[in-house]
Amino acid sequence: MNNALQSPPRIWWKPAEPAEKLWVRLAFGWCIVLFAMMPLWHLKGGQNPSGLRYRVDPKAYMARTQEFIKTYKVGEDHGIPVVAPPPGSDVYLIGLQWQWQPVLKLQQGASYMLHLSSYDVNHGFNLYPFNVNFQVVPGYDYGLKVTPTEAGDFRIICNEFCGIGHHVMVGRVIVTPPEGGAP
Amino acid sequence: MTDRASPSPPGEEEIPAGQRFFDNFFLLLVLGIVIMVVSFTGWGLVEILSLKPAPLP
Amino acid sequence: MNAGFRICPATGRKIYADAESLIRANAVAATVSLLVGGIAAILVLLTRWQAVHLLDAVWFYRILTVHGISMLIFFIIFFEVAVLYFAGAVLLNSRLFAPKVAWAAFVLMVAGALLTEAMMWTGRADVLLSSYVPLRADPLYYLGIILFAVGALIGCVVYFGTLVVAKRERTYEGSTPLVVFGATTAAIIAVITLLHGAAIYVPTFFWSLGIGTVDPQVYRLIWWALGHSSQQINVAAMVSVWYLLGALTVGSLVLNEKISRAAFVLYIMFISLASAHHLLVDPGMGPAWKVWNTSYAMYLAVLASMIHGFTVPAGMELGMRVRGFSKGLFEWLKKAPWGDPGFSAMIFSIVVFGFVGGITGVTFGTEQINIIAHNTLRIPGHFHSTVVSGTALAFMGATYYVIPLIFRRRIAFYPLARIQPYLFALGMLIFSMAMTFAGSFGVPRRHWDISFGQAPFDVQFNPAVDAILGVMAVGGLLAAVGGGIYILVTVWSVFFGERLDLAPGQAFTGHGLPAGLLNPPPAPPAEEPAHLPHAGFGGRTPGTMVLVMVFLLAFVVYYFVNWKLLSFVWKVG
Repeated sequence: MNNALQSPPRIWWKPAEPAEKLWVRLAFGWCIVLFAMMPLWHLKGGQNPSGLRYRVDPKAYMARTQEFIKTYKVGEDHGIPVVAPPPGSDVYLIGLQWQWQPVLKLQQGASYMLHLSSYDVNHGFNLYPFNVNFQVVPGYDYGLKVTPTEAGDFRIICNEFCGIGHHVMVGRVIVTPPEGGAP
Repeated sequence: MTDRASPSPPGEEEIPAGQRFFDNFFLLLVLGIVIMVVSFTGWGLVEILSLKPAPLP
Repeated sequence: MNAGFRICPATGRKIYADAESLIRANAVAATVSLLVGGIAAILVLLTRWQAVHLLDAVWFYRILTVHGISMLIFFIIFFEVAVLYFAGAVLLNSRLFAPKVAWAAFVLMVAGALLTEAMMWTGRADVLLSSYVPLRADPLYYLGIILFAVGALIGCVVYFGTLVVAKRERTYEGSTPLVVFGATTAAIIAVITLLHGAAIYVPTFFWSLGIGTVDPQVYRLIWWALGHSSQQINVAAMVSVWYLLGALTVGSLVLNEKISRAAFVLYIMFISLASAHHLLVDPGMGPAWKVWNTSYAMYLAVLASMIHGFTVPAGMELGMRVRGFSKGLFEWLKKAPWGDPGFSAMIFSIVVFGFVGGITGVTFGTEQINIIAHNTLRIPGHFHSTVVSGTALAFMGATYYVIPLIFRRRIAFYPLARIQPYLFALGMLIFSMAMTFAGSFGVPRRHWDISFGQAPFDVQFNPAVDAILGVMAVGGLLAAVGGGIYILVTVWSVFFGERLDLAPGQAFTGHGLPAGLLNPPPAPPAEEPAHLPHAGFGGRTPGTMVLVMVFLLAFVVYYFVNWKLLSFVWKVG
């Protein structure tokens, strides 16, 4: 027998005792479960960080967002345009120092292709209070098919440090119930 | 505390291949670097660099 | 430089003066970095505790940068270089390879650290630890980190050179001891880490000068290969220190060298892949890359951690049972030296790292569950329970043996030293759990003001959040007291402590010494005693088997609860 400070016996490549083997097998089994859950959720689960992924020039993305805003604008809130895009459409959200544009008005139960990108530095998309989080990277268009599950008045908190105005960077998402509020 | 657990006559039994592998820190270093550079860094870069420009429909 | 050596009174090993000086230098530099990082921690804490909100926005992000860099880069890597020289030279009875080169490395590391700290404190690097491009710092900030990293890399080369020298000069026979193998694992992961660090910091340095471009997504990919892999150096070093302290405090035995070493080899091959944890909700990489890498290749590196999670306590149980503490399931644990700060630090490190850090880390590192965790306070909740309550606490425990054995001083304020691990562990446990809990309410990390007073739209957090952040602050302040005691005790002991000059074979007696030196565990027996348990599924270590089953249950429950939580949010992807 030896301790961990001593050199082991000349040949130490020996089989483990049954208890150790049991634990290793159990742990390995658990590791397989851990691994299998991810592809399984891709097949059966409703939340996956996969979608459309493209490179994009920040200025081009900004221009497309402004075009999107012009097409679906229904108002303004604290100086930020409010849009009500139809279900199934491409929705463009841009993070810039230090605001989210536009304010979104979506319908509960409808699906949208939500595009995320940044005009300048990294931002963090956190849909509050659901705690849905994505990284918003300048130069990349991240398109995620989203379906709001309940009606309400929600927020987009920026949770990636983006400079001195980081803590004022809050956006808004309003989800209307399916019966009323069609654009 | 001695630093050798139990003596054994040299050359009596051959050292198992697994033991010799674990004792080869240079080989382990190379493996560690290669696996990381291929699986994480290399593949990751390929993923990023093969993205297409956004159609912005 | 003196090429001579002295004989260690406790173990009879040769301790060469060069190795000893370098261990001391790096350990002192680590402690100074810890002090800077710790002061920053208190300031950050008192700001995130909204009731106090101490710093303004500019200084908050500045001090948060100081905190991250001083702790995760300077403190921990200086300490790890000391661990490497200890493992390579002292534990192998060997001289250190190229001491002059090792000193040059030390000078580089100190110069780099001072330069980086100067840039941060003077407001020329308000970019946080991760310095995500296009956020830009002063070029000298990046240069400072590059110098530090180069020095650390040279330190690793000195370590490998020492392994070669020791083998060639036959200072030990057969394979290196398990603790040294763990250090080798840490050194290998350090090389992987630092190579990626160079790959990203050098182009970023030039970009900050106006030369060339750095793509933000490529930056994140390669930076995190440095950022998370550096945490895996910490894991390997921590596990080595667990084995070390186990042997010193209770006479821990190695159950099976092959299994424990295999776990370290799995770390070497796969643990760095999980740098992907930080990139799971990034646009640049696809699901196959994410799933494969975040799983450390089918969770083989998690298997490795679960193996150590068994073999470390099992080694203690076996060692104690062999010595006669074999009644029932847990006499070995009850009769262990809980008053020895080396022991208590180790135990709390294992428990908090395993139950809180490990479980939350693997859970949040699941590709989809990350959606409800990324950039929330759950993330720092996780990593404070791993690197602080885990690695740092283990290092603190080791220090209580380094002071008498390497610095050759009695431990000053020893009654304080004995309770230090308890204070620190309890404080950090409360702190980490509160942070994790707050994060599950959506509280963001790296954020100056969650009252959002100046934002266009209001954000109403659950009122519980204020209370939780208050609890977090109390835990953090308690931990700060524990950390402060550690620094006081170590600095005082090293510079003003009573000297301890023992002849080889002379016993340690008197005050200011841990139990493992006053009452050292007996040498391992040649043959396994007959009185060890054998029947039952727990084999020779039934108590540990119960503990790991509890751990596995906690893991399964926490993991699946999070999948359930994920299922409640919007459909995405």
